[in-house]
Amino acid sequence: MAPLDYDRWRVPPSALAIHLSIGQAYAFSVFNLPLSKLLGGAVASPDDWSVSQIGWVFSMAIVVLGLSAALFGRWLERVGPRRAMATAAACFAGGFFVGAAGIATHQFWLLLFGYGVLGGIGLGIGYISPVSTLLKWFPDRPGMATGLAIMGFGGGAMIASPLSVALMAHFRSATSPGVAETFLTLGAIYFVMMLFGAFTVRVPAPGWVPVHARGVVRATRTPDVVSVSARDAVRTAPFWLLWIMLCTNVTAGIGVLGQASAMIQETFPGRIGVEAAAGFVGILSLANLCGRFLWSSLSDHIGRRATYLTFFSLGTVLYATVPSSGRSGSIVLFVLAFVVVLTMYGGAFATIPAYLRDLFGTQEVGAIHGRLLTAWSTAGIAGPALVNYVREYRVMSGVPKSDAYGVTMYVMAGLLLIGLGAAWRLRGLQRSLATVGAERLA
Amino acid sequence: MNRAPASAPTSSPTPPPTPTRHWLPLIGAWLVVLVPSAWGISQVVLKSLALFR
Repeated sequence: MAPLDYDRWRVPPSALAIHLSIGQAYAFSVFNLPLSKLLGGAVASPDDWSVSQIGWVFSMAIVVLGLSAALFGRWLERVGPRRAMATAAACFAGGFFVGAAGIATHQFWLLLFGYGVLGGIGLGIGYISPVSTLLKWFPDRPGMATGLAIMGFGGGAMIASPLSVALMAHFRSATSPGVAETFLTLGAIYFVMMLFGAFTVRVPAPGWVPVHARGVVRATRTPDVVSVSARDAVRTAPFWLLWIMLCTNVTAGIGVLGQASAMIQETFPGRIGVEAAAGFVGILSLANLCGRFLWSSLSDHIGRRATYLTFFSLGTVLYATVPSSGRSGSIVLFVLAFVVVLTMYGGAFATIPAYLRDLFGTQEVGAIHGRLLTAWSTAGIAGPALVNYVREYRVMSGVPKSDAYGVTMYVMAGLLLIGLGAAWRLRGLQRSLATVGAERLA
Repeated sequence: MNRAPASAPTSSPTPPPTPTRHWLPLIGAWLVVLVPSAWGISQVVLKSLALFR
């Protein structure tokens, strides 16, 4: 518990320390190739793990993230952010250590259990642990506060990717690619970083309000509602509409992110090489990062619903026009369209906690957010699968590779239309939820 | 019976304490997260330049 004169701007670094660490998950792909050549060395041997098999480790981590966030959300609200963050640190770092043992002994199940299950639990608890605390510290700017933390998740991959490559280069020897040693080092670094977050986080004293807003807390655009429990929230239509909105938006974005490198090279054959494609992926990551902060901060001013309506309507138009910009040969238009799309992908993640707070109050918002993250798990599997299978089907049907992504983009645009419908439908229900809240208060 | 003097203030509310900004821990905490972030972002920006070459 923080003293009444505590400076609330010391809380976001605690949240960022957690999210910057667990954001490593999105850089897991840097281990794909080295892990597939553990036995063979320069060339994979028949007993080596395949890249698609290794891909399951990341998928498992994302699925467990959603499940553990849903399962441990209420526990988190009970024990508070410090214990939750310390638990997340132990699980996430422990996942690296067990994973390192699996790599050193070449036992796939141990890697899957370590990084995928144990690490996934650390991801889930870590992701939701600072959210409700930040919402309580920043009642006047909830979107900005959670956007700041969730932006860290996007930034985590940017740190982890070059760091992992540097560590593997350092530990590489004639007999080992240095992945196990890199796992051990990363586990130790993230453990310290996440404990920093756990030890520095504070919850506000009951009744605390920001000093500039004492007397009148600046109202957000949505009326305050009484806090709804996580158990009751999942029984409401608004929760499931938000679930659909998050799932459709993330499915569309994640599918593009996973295939961005191959997509730009195949759309502009001969003009975009491997290095330039890596640059494209980097720009998309930056757009994802910036979108998390910018859109969630903007939502404090224009309202949550208007923000999501923008995501879905603008996103639909952009996805639908990408194939024609590809055919026209305009790399600039193609890149610009995806930059905007990826800012909205990140923005949807970062704005959802503030939307939940508007609808259900702050009391169990962490737990409700945790349950909503099952939408991410679903999208984490559906997005890449959708892009891959539609593309493969088109290529097998004789469509040139440069045109193979066209239908995928229309499918994504269709998904966003479903999200648009859900966002539209939420309006009426949002009003009735506020009315129920007012009645309960009366 | 004790009576309050007429000039004494009645029940005036205690003003809430104003946050004291301790700059060192504040800057220290932000540096812990901003330094690695800046390094990571600079790596990505350098890589992204390849698209414009």
